[in-house]
Amino acid sequence: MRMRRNSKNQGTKEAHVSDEIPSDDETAAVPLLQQLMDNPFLLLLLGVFVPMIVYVGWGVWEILTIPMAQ
Amino acid sequence: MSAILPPTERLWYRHPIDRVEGTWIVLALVWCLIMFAMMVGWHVWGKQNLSTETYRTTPEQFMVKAQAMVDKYTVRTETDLDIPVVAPPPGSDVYLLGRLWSFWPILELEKGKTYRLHVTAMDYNHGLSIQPININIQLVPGFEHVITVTPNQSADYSIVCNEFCGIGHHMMVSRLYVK
Repeated sequence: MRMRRNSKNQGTKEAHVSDEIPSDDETAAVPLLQQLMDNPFLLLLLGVFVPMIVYVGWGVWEILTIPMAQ
Repeated sequence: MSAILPPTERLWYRHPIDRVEGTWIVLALVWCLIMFAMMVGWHVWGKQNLSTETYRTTPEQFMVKAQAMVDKYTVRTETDLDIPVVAPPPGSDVYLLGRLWSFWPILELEKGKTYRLHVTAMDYNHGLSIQPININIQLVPGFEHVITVTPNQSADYSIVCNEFCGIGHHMMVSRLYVK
C-alpha cells in the first residue's frame, strides 16, 4: 500500500499553533500598540517631540508668561 | 533568535506575557511611581531650595519699593558703606537687593513672624546665600522672587553672594538679623 504523505503534515505545526495561540492569526487586525512598536520612525518622532514639548516647550511658555510685579 | 530579526509571530503583541516579565514590569512601575511621588514629597520635607513666586520687574521699579521701606523703617546704619538696617513690621513686604558689590539694605526681622521677602538684582546675576542655614536663591536682574519666610531661630545670619559677579564678588557679603 502506498503511503500517501499527508499533505497537511507540513502545515500541521503552524495550523495547530494558530488554533491555540492567537498571535499567528492571519486575518485578525494588528493591535494598535503593536503597529506603534513596529514603527521605529514613529517611535523616533514621539521620542523627540514628547520630551521637547513637555520639558522645553512648557518651560519656555512658563518663563514667557511670568507676570509683572505689582 | 537574533533580536534584529522580526518576530516570528504575526501578532506578537497578543502573545501572553511571561510571569517573570509581568512581575518585573509591576515592580518597576511601582518604584517609578514612588520616585515620582517623592519629587513632590521631597520638595515638602527635604530641606531644599525654596519655591518662590516670580514676577517681572525693573531695577527702577524695585528700587522705588525698597527705598520706601528703607525710608520708613530704618533704625540705624552699619558698615563703612553706611548700609541702612531696616526693621519692617511683621506681615509686611520686605525688600532686599543685590548689586555690584553689596546687598542693600540689612534686614532685622523678628522670630516667629512672617514676612514676604522680595529679592532681585540690580545689574548682573548675584546669589543670595544665607548661612549657616544654607538658603540659596539666584538674584536675576529683571525678575523678582518673593519668598514667604518665618524665621524660627534668633541669630545673626551671614549673607554671601554665591554667583560670581566680577572683581568685587568676594567682598559681597552682608548680614541678616533675627531678634
